[in-house]
Order: sequence, then C-alpha cells, then structure tokens
Amino acid sequence: MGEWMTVTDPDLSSESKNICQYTSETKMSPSSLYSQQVLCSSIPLSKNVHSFFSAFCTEENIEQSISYLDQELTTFGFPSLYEESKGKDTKRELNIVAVLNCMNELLVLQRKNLLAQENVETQNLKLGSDMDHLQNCYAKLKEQLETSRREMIGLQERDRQLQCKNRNLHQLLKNEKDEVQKLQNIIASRATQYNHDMKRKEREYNKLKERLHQLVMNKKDKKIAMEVLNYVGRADGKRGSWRTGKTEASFFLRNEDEMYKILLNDYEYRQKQILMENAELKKVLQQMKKEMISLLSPQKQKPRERADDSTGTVISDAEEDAGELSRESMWDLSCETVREQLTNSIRKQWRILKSHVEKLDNQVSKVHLEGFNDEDVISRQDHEQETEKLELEIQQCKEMIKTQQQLLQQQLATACDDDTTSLLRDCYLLEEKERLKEEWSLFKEQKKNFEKERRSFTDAAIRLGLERKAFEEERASWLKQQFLNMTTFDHQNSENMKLFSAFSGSSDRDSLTVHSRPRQKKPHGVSNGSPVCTSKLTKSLPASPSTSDFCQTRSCASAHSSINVLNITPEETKPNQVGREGTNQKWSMASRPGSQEGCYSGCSSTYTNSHVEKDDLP
Amino acid sequence: MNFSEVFKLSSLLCKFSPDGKYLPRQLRITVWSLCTKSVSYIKYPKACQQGIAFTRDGRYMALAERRDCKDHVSVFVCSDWQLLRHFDTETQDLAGIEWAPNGCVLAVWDTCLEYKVLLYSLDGRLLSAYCAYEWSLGVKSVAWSPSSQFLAVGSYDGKVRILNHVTWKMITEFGHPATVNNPKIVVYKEAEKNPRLALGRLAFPPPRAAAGPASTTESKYEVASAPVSLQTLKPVADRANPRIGVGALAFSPDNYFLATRSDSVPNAVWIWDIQKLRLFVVLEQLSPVRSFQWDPQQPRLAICTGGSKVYLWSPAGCVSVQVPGEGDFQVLSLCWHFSGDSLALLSKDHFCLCFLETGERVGTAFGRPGDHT
Repeated sequence: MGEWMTVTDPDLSSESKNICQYTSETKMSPSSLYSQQVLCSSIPLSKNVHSFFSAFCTEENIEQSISYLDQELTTFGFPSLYEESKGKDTKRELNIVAVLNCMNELLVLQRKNLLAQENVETQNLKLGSDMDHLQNCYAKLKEQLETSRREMIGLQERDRQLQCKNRNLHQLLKNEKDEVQKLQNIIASRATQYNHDMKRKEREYNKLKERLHQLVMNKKDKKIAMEVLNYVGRADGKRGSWRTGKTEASFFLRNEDEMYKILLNDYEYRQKQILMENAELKKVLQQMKKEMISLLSPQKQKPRERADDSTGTVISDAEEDAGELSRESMWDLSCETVREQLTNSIRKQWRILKSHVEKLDNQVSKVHLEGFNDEDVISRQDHEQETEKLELEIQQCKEMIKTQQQLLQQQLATACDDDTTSLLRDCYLLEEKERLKEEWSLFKEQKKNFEKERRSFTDAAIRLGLERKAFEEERASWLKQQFLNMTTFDHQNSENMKLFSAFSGSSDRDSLTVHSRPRQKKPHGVSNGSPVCTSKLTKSLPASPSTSDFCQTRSCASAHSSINVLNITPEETKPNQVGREGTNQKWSMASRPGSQEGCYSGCSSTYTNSHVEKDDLP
Repeated sequence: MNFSEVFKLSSLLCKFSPDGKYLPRQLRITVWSLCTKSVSYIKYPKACQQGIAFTRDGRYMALAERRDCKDHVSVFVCSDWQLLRHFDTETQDLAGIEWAPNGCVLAVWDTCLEYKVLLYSLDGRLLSAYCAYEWSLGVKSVAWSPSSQFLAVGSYDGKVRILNHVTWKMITEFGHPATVNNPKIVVYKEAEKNPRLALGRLAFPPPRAAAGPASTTESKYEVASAPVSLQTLKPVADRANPRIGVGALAFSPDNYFLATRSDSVPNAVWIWDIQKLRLFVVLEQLSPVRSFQWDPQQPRLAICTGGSKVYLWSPAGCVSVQVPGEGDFQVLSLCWHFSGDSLALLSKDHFCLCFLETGERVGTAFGRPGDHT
C-alpha cells in the first residue's frame, strides 16, 4: 500500500499532495486506506475533484501542460499528442485524435487497474479473515494444550501419592508379619518357660503330697474312715486281701486274653457291619447300573445318527456288564479289580446318560427357539400328521360301521326282496343248521349206544332166564338130595326153609348183581374177552382176584354184594369218541377194610391200567 | 454300711464303679471293696476334672496319672485290680478321659489351652489324634454316643465337632449362633403364665398353687416363630475360664439326639438330630440352664435351671413341671433312675423323687439326705 503510494507520489504532485493530505489525516487500516483511495480516485465528479482537476491546467499554461502530458505519455509508451511535425521549428499542433485515443487508453487502463485493485482488496480481506480464524484456532489449541498439560501433571501427582501409599501399606504389612512372628516366638519361648516352671512346681507338689501322705498315714493308721456294719466275715476270720501286689502270671495272661477277646469281638462286629453296608451299597450300584442300561438301550431302536456311537457303546457295555454281573454275583468279592470295574462301568453309564439328557435338553431348547426348519421339528410334524391320518381313518371306519349297521337294520326290519330275505334267512339258518347237524350226530350216536345196550340187556335177560332155569334145576336137585339125606331129621325142615329163604335172598341179590354185571361189562367188551360169569357164580364165597381182568375183579367184588356196592358211571361209552378224555370215570366205593383191600387195590390198579389204555386209544 | 460318714468325708471325690462294688477315692486312690473288707491304694492319680473312668460293663477302669511331669493312663481290671496296661499320652496336661460305651476305645483330651483329642484302643495303642485348631482355647466337653459311633467334642469356640468311629475324622460341626433363622427348627420359649383370676369364680379356700410364694409362678412353653434371637451373655475378656463355649453335651440313649448347651447362650438347650445332622429344637428357659440329663430308656430330656421347676422335653413336646412342696425347692441338679420311671431332683439339702407314670400325672416324694428311708 505504502509502495503504491510512494510510486504515485512524485508523478502526480498536486494530486498526490492531496492524497497524502488525505491519507495522512486519516490513519486507518490499509484496507480503509485503499477504499479511500479508490473513492478518491474513482469519483471524478465531486467538487473536490473538480477543483483538483482544474488545479493542474489553467488557461495560462495550456501549452506547458500539453507538452508535459505529451512527455509523460510518451514515456509511458503512448503515442505523442502532437501531430507529426512538418518542420523542426514550427509549432506542433495538438493531435486531437491522439489525445482522444490516449484518453481512451488511459480510461481502459484505469478500469483495469481498478479491477485489479478490487481483486487484490478482496483477496486481502479473505486473507485477513483466514488469518483471524487461524489465530483463533491457535489460541484455542494453546489453551487445550495447557489444560491437558495441567491434567497430566495432576494425574502424575496422584499416581505418585498412591504409590507412596502402597509402599506404606506394604511396609505396614511386613511390620505386622514381623510382629506376628515375634509374638509367636515369644509365645513359644513362654510356653517352654511355663512348661519348665510347671514341671518344677509339679515336682515340688509331688514332694509335698508325699510328705502329706506320710503325715496323714500316721494318723490314718488309728482310724479307718469306713466302718463296715454287718460284715460277713470269712470262715477263718481273716480279712480278705487284694491280689494287686502279686502279679500272678496266669491272672495276667487271663486278663490279657480277655482284653484281646473284647477288642477282637468289637473289630469283628464292626467289620461285619461294614461288610453289610458294602454289600448293600454294591447292590444299589448294580441296580442303578442296570436301570441306566435299560434306560439307554431302548434308544438304539430309533434312527438317530447322533446317538449311534453312544448306543454302540451301550450295547457293548450291556454285553460286558452282563458278563460282569454274572461274574460278580458268582464271586461277590471285594477285590480291587472288581470294585474298580463296577465303579468304572457306573461312571461310564452315568456319563452316557448325562450326555443323552443334555442332547435332549438341547433339542428341546432348539424346538423352542427355532422355527420349523429343523429336522427334529419335522419329525414331530410327521408324527402329528400321522396321528391326524389315523384319526381320520378311525372316523371313516366308524362312519362305515354306522352306515352298515343302519343298512342291516333296515334290511332286517323291512323284507324288501324275497331273494334277499331268503338269502338272509339262509345266512342266519346256516349256523342253526350246523348246530342241528352236530346234535343230530350226537343223537344218532346215543341211539346206537342205546340200541347196543338194549341188545345187551336182552341178551343178558335171556341168559339170566337160562341161568335161572339152571339154577332152579340145581336147587331142585339139591333139595332132593337134602330131602333124601334128611329123611330122619324132620324137625330141621324149618331150618331148611330158613336156608332156602336166605339163599333165595342171596340169590336175589346175586341175581341183581348178576343183572348189573353184564351191563357194566359191556363197555369193556372191546378190551375183554367173553365174560365167564356163570362159572364164577358158584364161587360166591370169598375168592381172591388173582387175575387182572377187570370183569373178573368186578364180579368178585359184586359177589360180596352183602358188603360192597360198586357204582360205576362210565361217562364215555366208546373209546373212539372224539374229544373226550378218559379221566371221567368215577369210583365210589364203600368198602370194608381187610379182605376188601386187596380187591380195592386190585381194582384201582386195573383202573389205572384201563385209564392208561383209554388214553392211548383215541 | 454307714454311707453318711463316707459322703461327709469325701464329698464329691467318691465314685462308684458300675457294678457297685468298689469305691475309689481321689487324692490317693483308695479302692475299698464293699464285699470283702479290703483296701488298696493307687499312687499318683491325677486330680483333674475326669481322671477316673469305668467302662460301661464295669470291667475296666482307666485312671489318669501324672508322673515326672508326663501324663500316663493306667488301665486296671476291675475284678482283681490288676494293672492291665500303662501307657503315656501325648498331652500337655490331661484334662479328662472317657471310655466309649463299647469299652474298646478311650478318649483322652488335653487342657483347654490346647485343642487335642487322642483316641486310644483298649490295649494302649494310639488310634488317632484330632486337633481342630491351634492357639485358641480348646476342648471344653466330650461325649460319646451310645452306639460308640460318634464322639462329640464341644470346644470354647462355641462349636461341637462330631467325629466318626471309622476314620476318627470330623464329619460335621454344629455352631451355636445367637439367632435361629431356619423356620424348620422349632424354638420353645418358656413364658410365665400369669395366675389366672377367674372372674366370677372365686374359689374358697384359694387353690394350693396360689398359696405359695409369688416367685413360684406357673410357666409354659410357647413356640416362637423364626427368626428367633436368643439371649446371649457377653463374656468377660480378661478372666480365666470364660463363659463361652459348649459346656455340656449329652446323647440320647437311642442315639437320635444330642443335647448341648452353649455357655454364651446360657438359657438355651440345643437339641440336634443326629440322623440328619442338623439342629432340631431349641429350648429357651427364663434362667440359665444348670444341668440336663437324658432318660436312660427313651429320648426324653430333663432340664433344671435352679428354679423350682423341672422341664421335660421329648420329640412329642415339652412340659414344665412345678415341684410341689412347702417353701422354695431349688432344683440344682437331677438324676434319672436307670429304668426311666423316676427322676431324682436335688437341691441344696433336700432331694425329691419324681415318678413318671404312663398317664400324665407326675408324682413326687420328698426326702432328705441322711434320712433312713
């Protein structure tokens, strides 16, 4: 600014003087000086300027001023103001065109300069504001730096203080520890001192006690502190004596023995208790193991890939453990290896169980957290779908059943078609027909049996008639003989009559049994030969059943009809009947012991034989 | 046998052996046979709290001795007073010995200045030594369980430690805090029953219970709800034998319960369930508990506090019974009969026999020591 000023100063004398005056009066900032200058220079129409301009060129010095201006302009590079001189001495004429051109040039120049000035001024302003800003920033940063430095100093101070404290505390701790150690040493030394003193005092005390004893003993001899009334004396009047002084070896040993016995009993008892407890605990452990195995083993049926390893081990474990169990139960020892095996196997099972439970927990938590994209969730969905399907099926089936029932009822109620009704009736009657057939067959069989029996009865009746006839003939002959023998004894007729009556009675009974015999005999006609009954009739008196023939024993049994009543109710009539066993024969016998026993046993033996036979036949 | 003479002379120094035949005396052990008129002396017995111990079956007697400033224990066979075993113990100053009920183990404990419990077998071998802590005051009281399974050690730190007979190591410890927080524990507090003045029913003459002096008021037990705080006694710090620690221990005969008394909570009796190893019941009386003893046949505890009442507790409940009689009967100690049917209550110069019937009636009979009854 100043430079600009000084350049223009000498050129424009009055102008510059004014400017100097102007500027010297106002000491302002360069920017304001600039603005003043611009004002001054850019306003040519003010009064001051007019006077300013008129001050340079007046009417008297036109030529001088023209020449001066021409000089100046030529120095500046402008063309001359004068016209081109024709001769050297003639006065140069003012070239107005040149003057105007120069003026124009000067104006243009002036404008340029003004623009440049403006630019410079704005730049100046900008730089000034930037400078201000930077200075502010600088001031702020300086402040911040200051404060942070102060903080740092403060923190350092605190750190130092804390370290001091720490050191002090360490020192205190060390002091305390030293004190404790010192006190402990003191205590130990005092303890030894006290012990020593106590020992000394004890010795003194013992000495005094002994002295006291001695003194007291002297007095004590005179009087016994205890008076024993109603004393039961010994036989020889002497006092009993203790055996404390004499250490008899036998007594000593006996005492020792007793003591050791007591100790041993105690130890044995305790060991028993402990063994029992051990056994119980082992049982519990084994049970637990079994249960754990059973819990884990069903899992192997479900197709879970993750559990494959564990199930594999489970299976192998189960096999191992089965062997172990058998071994253990056999031995039931408490040796190290067995114990270890048991505990190890239980630990394994427990681990497997735990991992399984954890997996289940994880799955459950996954189900809760995640959506429907997990495999396990899908499986559950499958389950649900399946259950739904099944339910639908069930419902359909139920409906079908209902409809069928309805249809059936309808058809039962109303007779729609003859064919259908007949068909239906046929359906219903089939069962009845079959039943009837069965019953018919039964009936037929029974009829056959009855026929057979009737025939046998008729035969028996015929035989009976024949036998009766024979019997009558015999009787007649016997009577004849008797009569002939007993002609001399008339008074015995009454006896004969009695005999006759008795005999007839017995013969009646015999006849009855004989009648019943063939009936009973008949079912066993297959197994037995033709009965030989007539000959046996003569043996009406006791005869032992030597043969194992069923019929014969029966006959002999029936011969003792006065005593025996043999009821046989055979339920099976034929051995070739289907579906019946041979166990339905009943015996009810009211037999007299003694002579009948052999018969009974014979009968029972034959019964069993026949029983066996009957079983074989079907 | 002039017993009165004996009691006067030796007063508290005599001890009967379990079969009642021998009567040793302290100072120098004089063993009197009551059957044969013979006397025997044993030197150097130890004058400590519990220097003589008989086994339950009366076979053996253990005696604590001190010779040449060392503690020894001698075991005698009671039938002929033969010395069976003599061994020294590793104690500083033996305070007491006690046989286990099975007669095979002897527990020996040291002075209260050192916590040490030693267990010796019948033949003198050291089975185990137990020490819970050092430097503080140690063992105050010791009790065996009737099955010999447990040894309860009560110490000055207010805790009872239970040792088991297999490893002789501690299985649990019971503390005695001043407040009971667990609601499962029943706390019975003794409360005074005010003599009821029945309005509109004045009986003439007034009932005998009210005829006594004012101090003999009826009392009953009330169940207090958790949390319960018990009365504590602050011990004097600079005196010897401070009133802290577990001073009394007793197992019930069926081995189910352990009754303890902590001297810093002197009014309370703590009953522990040994099956579950936890506190079962706390009984708080109005005055400090003097002594308690279990019925030898069933789990029934009788407590006396120096007042004129005796208190009975059983798992079914508890009751406080006034001792009837003229004047003030201060029950200072009590003693059950072996059959568990009767209880002897001792005061300063009287004693009272209390009969327990299967009905709720409690009968009493009075006597005086020295009477020929």
